Amino acid sequence: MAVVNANYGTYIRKAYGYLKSVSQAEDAVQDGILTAFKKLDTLRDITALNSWINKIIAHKALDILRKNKRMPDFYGNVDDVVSYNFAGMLNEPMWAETLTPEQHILKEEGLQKLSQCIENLEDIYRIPLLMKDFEGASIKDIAVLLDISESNAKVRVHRARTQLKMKLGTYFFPYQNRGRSS
Amino acid sequence: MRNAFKILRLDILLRPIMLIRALYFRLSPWMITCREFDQSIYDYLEGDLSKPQLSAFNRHKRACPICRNFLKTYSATHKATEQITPYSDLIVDETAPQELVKAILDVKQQQ
Repeated sequence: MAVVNANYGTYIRKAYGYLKSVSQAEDAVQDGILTAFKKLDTLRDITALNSWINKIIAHKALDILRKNKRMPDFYGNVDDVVSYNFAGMLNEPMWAETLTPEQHILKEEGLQKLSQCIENLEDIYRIPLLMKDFEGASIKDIAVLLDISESNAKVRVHRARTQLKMKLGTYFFPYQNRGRSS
Repeated sequence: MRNAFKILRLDILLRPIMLIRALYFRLSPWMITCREFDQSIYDYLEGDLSKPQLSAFNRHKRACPICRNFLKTYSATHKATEQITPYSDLIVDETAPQELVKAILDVKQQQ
């Protein structure tokens, strides 16, 4: 019970990352916690309770996404986020005016911007990214949870980071992508 | 250096040279292309590349300023995302609501 009380906000935030709606996130979390306690006798190691609850909540959130019919097509291949020219060269500028992201992140503004950019990512990219970078799940776990192959999961995380980089491009790196269509 | 890129748009002027370079990458078996470089960035940051793969990766990194810049901004973004907890500015109930606590206690009693 103490585990639930201590981590309730964290659970909600995690579910919110998947669902982008607070009320649905609350549904997923409460449903998940109840299920976890109903099946408590199947849990062998009680110290793993928190990560177990987390896993169940992720399942519940994905179920709700499927019900919303917003469930992205995780099975197909993903397109290249970056573009190449006819010679196979990356269509990107070779110079970026770098301001350290850490400096920006320290400000609340930077944090909000980053959260906003993550929220604007498509589901097929956002969910693997949230799992990998913020929950610290392994590629294997992501592949199992989303029912895709490991290489596909890896590609999705990579594409998500690339897209995030492009969305943030004009923010952290003002010179990048200025007046350029790539 | 920065001004040279900004005002003279050196990157545009250098484009023909870069194109010849890219064709050279494509035709030489010991170089990987930008696409292959992009595909192995993930493994590079995780440290999963094998020795020959890593040397090919570094060879491309040395030769291609575009990919070097791409990797720089990519890893900076990656570092930034690792440092934050997402949605920490989202205002939610920090404690479990009473109904949930009651339901959990009910389940416990049934067990």
